Amino acid sequence: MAVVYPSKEWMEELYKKVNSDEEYKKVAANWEGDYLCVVELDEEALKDFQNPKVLKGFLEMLDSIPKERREKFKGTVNEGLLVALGLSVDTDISTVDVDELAKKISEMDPKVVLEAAKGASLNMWLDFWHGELRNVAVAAPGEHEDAKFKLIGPYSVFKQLVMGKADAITLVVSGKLKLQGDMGYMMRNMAAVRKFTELMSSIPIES
Amino acid sequence: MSKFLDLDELTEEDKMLKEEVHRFATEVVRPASIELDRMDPEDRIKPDSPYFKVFKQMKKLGYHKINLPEEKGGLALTPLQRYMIFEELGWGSLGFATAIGVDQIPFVTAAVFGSEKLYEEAVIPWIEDDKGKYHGCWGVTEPEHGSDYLIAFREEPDLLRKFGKGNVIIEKDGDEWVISGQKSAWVSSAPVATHCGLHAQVKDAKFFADGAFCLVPLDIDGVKKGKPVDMLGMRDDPQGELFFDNVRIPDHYTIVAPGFFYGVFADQLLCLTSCGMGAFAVGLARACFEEALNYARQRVQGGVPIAKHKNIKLKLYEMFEKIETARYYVRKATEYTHRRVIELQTADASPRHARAAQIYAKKVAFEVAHEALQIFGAYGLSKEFIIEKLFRDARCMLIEDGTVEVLSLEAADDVISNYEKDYYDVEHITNLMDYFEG
Ligand SMILES: Cc1cc2nc3c(=O)[nH]c(=O)nc-3n(C[C@H](O)[C@H](O)[C@H](O)COP(=O)(O)OP(=O)(O)OC[C@H]3O[C@@H](n4cnc5c(N)ncnc54)[C@H](O)[C@@H]3O)c2cc1C
Repeated sequence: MAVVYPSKEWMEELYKKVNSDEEYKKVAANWEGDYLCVVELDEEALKDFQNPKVLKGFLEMLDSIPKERREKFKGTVNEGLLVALGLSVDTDISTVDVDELAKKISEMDPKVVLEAAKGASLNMWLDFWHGELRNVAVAAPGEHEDAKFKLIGPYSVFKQLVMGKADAITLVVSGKLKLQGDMGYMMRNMAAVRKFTELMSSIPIES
Repeated sequence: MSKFLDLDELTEEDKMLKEEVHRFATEVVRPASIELDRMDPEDRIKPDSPYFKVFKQMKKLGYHKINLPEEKGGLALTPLQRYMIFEELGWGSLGFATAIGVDQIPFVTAAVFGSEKLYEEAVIPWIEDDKGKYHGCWGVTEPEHGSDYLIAFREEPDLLRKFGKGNVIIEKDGDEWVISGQKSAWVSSAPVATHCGLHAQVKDAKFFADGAFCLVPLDIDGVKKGKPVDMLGMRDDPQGELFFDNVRIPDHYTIVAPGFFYGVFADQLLCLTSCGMGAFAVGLARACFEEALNYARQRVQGGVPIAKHKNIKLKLYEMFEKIETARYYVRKATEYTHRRVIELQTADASPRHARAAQIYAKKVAFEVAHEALQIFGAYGLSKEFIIEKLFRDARCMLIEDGTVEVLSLEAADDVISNYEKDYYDVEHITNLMDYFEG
């Protein structure tokens, strides 16, 4: 079943996909380590947020962070994003009229929003352990900064990866995505990395 | 002679492939290579040169596609089959084998590591080309830096500081990259190439190997080619300089951006080319051996064919032994390397093993060529027999794709640091990155 990206459904699908794949279990049997994916806001994200389905997916991801942890947005660039979209850290996201907000975003000047929310990102935490994806969750600012690997890049580039338009290695090698962490470990486990990204890009995405 | 006992017990398909390539090498490649060897450098690159006739036929036969992954338009050959094609072409002519080898470098790397857009723009037309319209080359070495490029990632940081600046510099400018400088006169096929897989140092590089790899179409503004050079050997593949004067390429033509992965890429690419060079070297060595064997069976001195003399017998046996050991080692290294770089695409082939394949086979090729020429006596020095050409080519191999000494030093570092490890260790790259980038 096709899911919206980004959305909680997509995260759940990814969780199921990885954990039911026998080959992944085998190639990643020794893998120990988590990833923090830092998905930076860009023009393409703002364009996609004009689609109520995508915006809903994004907001639900934010909403999956419990209120007390959401406090961590305060004073960060990510709070700037919420403010730029006319929301705040305290907004009850479940009550937001998504259609109306999507319309509002379509009337905004993306340059102004991007300027106000410069450096804003949606952070996703993926915890892999011995052939299993133990956890996939949205991370609040400052959380999981000590992850074994950090993958950083604009929304549009992550989207290419998720939609299977480009593979992770190509994106990292060409510098479109930045990868930080224990590179020696990564190179020793390329089969696991390849298999995971292959599984991720095989999830059908609703356009 | 394509007949010899193959210890890999080839399948029918393997045998047919080998026969086909050998026939092509005998009937087409070798005669053209002899003709080219005797021509002036300028004439070798004229439109009516035999070079283009053979190159076009190699394209038609699809030899340029052999190293492409299947899902990217490759021929779905096994590593052994790819090896056999290269050995047979190396048997026919080191120059043409090198030509079809370097042709692949910019495009195969673009297919494996490049974007979808680059694949559509540049790789697909190259894959579909059966007329020799597109020709790649590999621009690594520079007037002031030859071996430096091969050893840079394994050198001590303090020594690396003394390497100085690269002669080709690349700089990002908005959505484009700008390239300036000059590559060495030894870039194989450069005078006839349409595209170059180019290594360039980034502007204000933190260290010598702080570089990028890109695909440069050679018909764009600012690119100039030098005159083809007149060399001792490998004259059947024209070589020459490439000049870049503020050459602008779109962002997606830079396949490998500066950083850690550029180091991995350069290391792994040399694993692939090492297997190719190893196969060419075995082919060349076999060509020398077969010439010597035939000659020794016929040339009568002391009242008997010279093959009956013990010193000649011993030489022939030793040549045979060297070629056989080289062939099966290169095949094994090719199998391992191709699985990791082409099939699984995990970029974790073993540098020391791949380098050993190249170094060992190149040394074997030169030793065998040297002994083969000795068997011919003075006839071996005359142009009447091909052995003098093969000898000159084998001499060039000791320098092409890295001198055997520098390749050995580079491989030695991997042996000393990593011998016990059953995986590809990248500490030599991460150490440099940490040292220079903090
Ligand atoms: C037939 C042929 C084809 C070629 N094709 C290509 C091509 O397609 N593309 C391309 O870019 N280049 C190509 N080359 C260039 C080739 O890679 C270089 O010639 C080679 O790497 C050596 O560099 P150099 O000639 O500058 O010699 P140098 O690096 O100047 O070396 C001179 C001598 O010093 C030794 N030496 C150098 N550095 C060290 C060191 N650090 N430690 C110990 N000893 C050292 C070398 O072993 C050598 O004996 C080709 C060369 C030949 C001969």
